[in-house]
Amino acid sequence: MSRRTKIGAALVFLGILHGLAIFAGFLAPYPYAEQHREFPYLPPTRIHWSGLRPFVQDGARRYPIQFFVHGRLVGVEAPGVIFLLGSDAYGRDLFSRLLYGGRVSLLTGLLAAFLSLGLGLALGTAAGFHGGWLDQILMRAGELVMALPWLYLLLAVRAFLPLHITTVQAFFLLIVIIGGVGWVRPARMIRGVVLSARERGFVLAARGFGASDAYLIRRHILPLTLGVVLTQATVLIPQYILAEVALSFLGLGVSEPVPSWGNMLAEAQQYHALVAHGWMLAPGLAIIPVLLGYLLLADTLLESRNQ
Amino acid sequence: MRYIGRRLLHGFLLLVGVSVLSFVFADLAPGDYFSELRTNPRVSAETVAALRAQSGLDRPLPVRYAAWVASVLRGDFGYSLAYNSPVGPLLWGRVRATLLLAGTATILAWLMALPLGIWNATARGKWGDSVSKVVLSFLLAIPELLLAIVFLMLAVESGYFPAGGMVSPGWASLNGPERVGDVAWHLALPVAVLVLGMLPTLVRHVRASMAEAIDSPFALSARAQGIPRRRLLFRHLLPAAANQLISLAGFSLGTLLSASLLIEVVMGWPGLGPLFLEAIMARDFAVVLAVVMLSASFLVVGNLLADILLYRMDPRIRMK
Amino acid sequence: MAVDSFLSVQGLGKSFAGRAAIQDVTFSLERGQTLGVVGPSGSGKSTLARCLAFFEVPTCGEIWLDGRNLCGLDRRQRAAMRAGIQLIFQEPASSLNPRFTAAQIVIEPLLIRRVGSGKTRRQRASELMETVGLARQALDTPALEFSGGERQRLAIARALALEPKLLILDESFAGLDLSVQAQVANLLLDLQERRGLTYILISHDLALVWRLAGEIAVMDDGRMVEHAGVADLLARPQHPRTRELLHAAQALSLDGAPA
Repeated sequence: MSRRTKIGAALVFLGILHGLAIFAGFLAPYPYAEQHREFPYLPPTRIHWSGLRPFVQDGARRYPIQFFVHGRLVGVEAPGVIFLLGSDAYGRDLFSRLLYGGRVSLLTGLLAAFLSLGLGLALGTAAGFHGGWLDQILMRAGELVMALPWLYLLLAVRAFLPLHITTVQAFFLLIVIIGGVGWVRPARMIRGVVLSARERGFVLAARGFGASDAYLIRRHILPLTLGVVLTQATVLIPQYILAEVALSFLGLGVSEPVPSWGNMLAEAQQYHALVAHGWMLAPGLAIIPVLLGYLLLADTLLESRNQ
Repeated sequence: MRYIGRRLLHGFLLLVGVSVLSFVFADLAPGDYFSELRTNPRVSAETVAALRAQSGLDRPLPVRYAAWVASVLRGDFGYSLAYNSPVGPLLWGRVRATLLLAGTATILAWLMALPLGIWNATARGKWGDSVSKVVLSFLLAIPELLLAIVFLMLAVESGYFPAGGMVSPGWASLNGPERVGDVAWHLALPVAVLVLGMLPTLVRHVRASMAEAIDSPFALSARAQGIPRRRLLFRHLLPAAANQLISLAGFSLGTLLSASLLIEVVMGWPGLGPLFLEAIMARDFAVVLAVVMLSASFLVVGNLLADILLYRMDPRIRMK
Repeated sequence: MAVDSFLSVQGLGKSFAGRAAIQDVTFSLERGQTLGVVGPSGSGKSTLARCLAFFEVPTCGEIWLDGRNLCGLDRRQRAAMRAGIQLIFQEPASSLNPRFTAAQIVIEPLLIRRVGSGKTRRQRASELMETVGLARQALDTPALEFSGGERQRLAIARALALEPKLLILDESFAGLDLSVQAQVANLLLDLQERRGLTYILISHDLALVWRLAGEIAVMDDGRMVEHAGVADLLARPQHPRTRELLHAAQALSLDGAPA
């Protein structure tokens, strides 16, 4: 498989996964908070076929599966239920929550990475281009940030912020924290690129024509940072998804009733029940293909940069 | 020697910087240990203010910082309001537990990664290497959190392994070897998860470093001279790769500590992780601060050791 | 030495961290002439070039171009004067952004100085390509697809975009093979004849310089130790350094020293 094919395949794969999560509102049969207390820990609903029509069965009654109902792709009439991955302790559809949870976790990862990269680009370029005291300050600041192991750092920052916050606040807070402390490595790498780019002949030549710093950065230097930014993105996004999962799992991120793969895994910690209800681990399992996709992308990009 | 001195000073200044920053942030943090009390209608505002004054929380920042530094020098590391005791004693048991976990995992992981990486590097492109790559990539994509939960579930279900803790009840009455065995039994699952988490990255890097060493001109000429493989490996190739591998060890220390934090919490290992989390929830900032400083110290010391090792091993650094 | 020469440099000096890279450099050059500057490595040739092209600010001394004092100009005036003096670098490969197309490279000075519109710039690019003997069709080819000699021509085309009066060529022929050197040299001579350009040619290759220059200046240890017409210099070298360089060049040259 050629490199371009691999990259294309990985992108398509990741696109599908992210798409599934983004369109959770449409693809999920149920809203994430809807409880069916009469059906706790139900195993995945079996789908039966009568000819080409699918249906679910509850005792003797059959409920045909309906499409495009209530603004959602799939549904069945009450009191029938279609729990494609079973239900949790409160009778909530795990499949729906998986999709909604994915939306939170994946989006947090993406936006936090965006923030980190943006900060890293701005600060790294400033440090590399300007040099001098600005460079020194930024590098020292970076050292301070990197002085702690990343999860300790995240928890420490989280500790100094209010504990009880709304879900929306939590979402943005997570993005700001995770993305805000992660600028150092990208900044250092971009700084390196800028430092060497600054001395290149064509930059000096453009200066000779009277080009402003802004022009040089925009036209000559920034395009050279693109490679680094892309490879960093493929590395950071999965890390940040895991960071969100960890924080929400520990109760310091997004909390009930809004699902995130992290807080859903926290619920799965009823170990005696877990054996009988393995589907509670679905959020953890769902992370695997996402990471595989980014891993493939990262490896392939790294290969082509080492050429 | 001067190099080491400079690195020590640098590390020390870094820790001072971290402590100051943390102190300032803790100060800016809304609420403190007593904030929860204020929401309780039966506790009056005066009582809370009195409690604050009693614990010295109302003194100005530089005064508190100086008091904290003095406390550190005494070995107390501040005062925990939640546990009502100096922080110091709370820490040492936890630090030992975390070091035991992280240390054992590191040793085991390297013991497995080195042979595997070397084997892959020497048999590049053959089926062993490819299978290895696929399996390890898959392993890399499995979040350690998931592994930890699954392992714990199996432990609870099968009873073969304990479901948490470092020692069994009644450990004190066991004799020496039995005690070690008991701890090892408790250590098994957490270490397994950590090792499985570290392995993919380690093997990858070992493979890459060894491959580079194998392909280098001096190795090719050594082989041409007929130097036996084992001697070649240990006397020539490994030292060449050691530089990158030691850097890797220092580099991955932060990731290791972070992973171990999560696993300690999930699997009930009584290390710094659970203590940290508790303190955050209770807004016991003295403990939070202490753990922050400790984790930063681990990194500083770890990197310093790696730097010293590199310095001794690589004459090029000495020339700088 | 008259200030009404086209280019007049007096007492030019530049120090870096206390060490003088060039000092007490004084010479003048008439319009349409070529001055060759030779000397061993580290003699200050490049520093001189950079001072003249505004890449370094001289520590002391004055530069007069076409009757105007270049030192003591404010930023904007200096920016305007920069157009008049262009420097062509040693490495054509690195002085051109490999990802830029020929058109983008050649019009860059116009873009930076906001001269003309998109259309007129494109037109100008075509003209410049033609001037240096490159095909118009190559306008949209990325720079890395050009050969070394072609890239040097691109660099020259770019340098001509702002219609400079003085071109400084700093080791611009190094790294080009001999036939390509000859082509570029012919181009430069041609341009000089047609447009009355003035050149300062800096090179360690004395043989190249005595073919192209009308006058030669010898640099040694930061000072200009000799400055004379080519014929005079070759026949009656005054300074020991000059004699050294001549001996070395003659020992290596295949066609022997000119009379």
